[in-house]
Amino acid sequence: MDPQRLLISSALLGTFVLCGGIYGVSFSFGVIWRRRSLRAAGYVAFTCQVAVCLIVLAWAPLLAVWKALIAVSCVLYYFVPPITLRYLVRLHETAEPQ
Amino acid sequence: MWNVIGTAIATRRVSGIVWVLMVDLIPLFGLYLIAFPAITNLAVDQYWWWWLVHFWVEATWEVVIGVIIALVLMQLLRTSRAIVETWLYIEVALVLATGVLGIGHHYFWIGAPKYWLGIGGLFSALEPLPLLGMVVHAVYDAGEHRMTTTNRPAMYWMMAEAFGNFIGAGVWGFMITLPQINLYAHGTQWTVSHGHFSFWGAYFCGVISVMYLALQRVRGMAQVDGAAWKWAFGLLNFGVIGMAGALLVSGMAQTFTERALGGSTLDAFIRGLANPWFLEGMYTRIAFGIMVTVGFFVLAADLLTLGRRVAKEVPVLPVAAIAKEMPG
Repeated sequence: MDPQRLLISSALLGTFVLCGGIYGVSFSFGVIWRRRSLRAAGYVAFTCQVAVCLIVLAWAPLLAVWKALIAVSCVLYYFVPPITLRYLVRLHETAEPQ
Repeated sequence: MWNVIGTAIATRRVSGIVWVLMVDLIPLFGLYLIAFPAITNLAVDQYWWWWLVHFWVEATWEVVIGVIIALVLMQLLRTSRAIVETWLYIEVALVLATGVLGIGHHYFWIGAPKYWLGIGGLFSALEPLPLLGMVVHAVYDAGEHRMTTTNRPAMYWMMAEAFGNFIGAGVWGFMITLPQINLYAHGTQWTVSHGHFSFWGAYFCGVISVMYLALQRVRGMAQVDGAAWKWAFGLLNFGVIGMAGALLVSGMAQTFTERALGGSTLDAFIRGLANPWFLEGMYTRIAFGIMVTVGFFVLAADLLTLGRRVAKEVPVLPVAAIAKEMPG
């Protein structure tokens, strides 16, 4: 493996997860506080995550199986915050009916 | 373990949170027993020592984090027990589903069968997802209450735990978890950076949060706030982030020079240690380490004096004097 590509690939993988985290937090606060700007910031972060994912798929010297895993997990990242929030809201409504 | 079980027996009531904690503490304690037999074969002894620590960090301690977040949310924000417990069961299921096999990323280079490269890599890549769920959970409950609580230090340390766990274990971990990259980064200061950050985020922050929560109860304080905890919070978190960043730079230099360029020879190892980026990273780490030490003393002073400091008395003017000072 080319040493430069090794370090950059690793940094890309870290950025990939970080973008997922920023998306989750911005999206959640945006929904809870009804702030469209925060939700938009969340979607921007997820777009960055997709961009990073595409760079990894096209350029990183990883085996195809790991690239496939990263692509699948990128899709999963998109659904984690909305599904989690939807479930939490439903849980609160059921447990606190007032 | 006995402390928790003994408390449950004494109160004759076991909540869902305590059940999870007790069930988790049994393997946590059971694995610790592996450390006691006097194994004469050093390799076998080291293997079990190593396995014990990694099973703790990937599985049992992650469950403890879920329990701490649940407990703190319930105590601080009055989130109902039914909600907290339901969510805790989901978190625990997800954490164990990914973590137990995710431990496989520690099997990569110890002579275990090759299939662990696939299993360890796959489940390690999924490990950040439940951590993201934990962050969303903490954000949801804190956001619902607009971050208002009677114990701000406990609240902020709990949030620091959720974020620190995600960044330290999730982001830092994912940088080096895939086998092709781990082959080069394993055992360098890069791993140390990941270890420092994730351990801080996952465990220390949670422990400090619970300490503030317990002290509020023990010292009968209606409100916990002040300036000292903010200094401690800033110094400790900024210091740990700085240390993790500095170690990351050193680790990357080591990976690049010693492993990728030098091929892991003794000569390459020595050249890696002499690399200017490596050295500067290590010196910077010391500077941030001093910051952490200062933060620790501020935190200790705050915890020791919390609720015992006499509130500064504000002089109360008589009503007549106030009326005289008012215009008109």
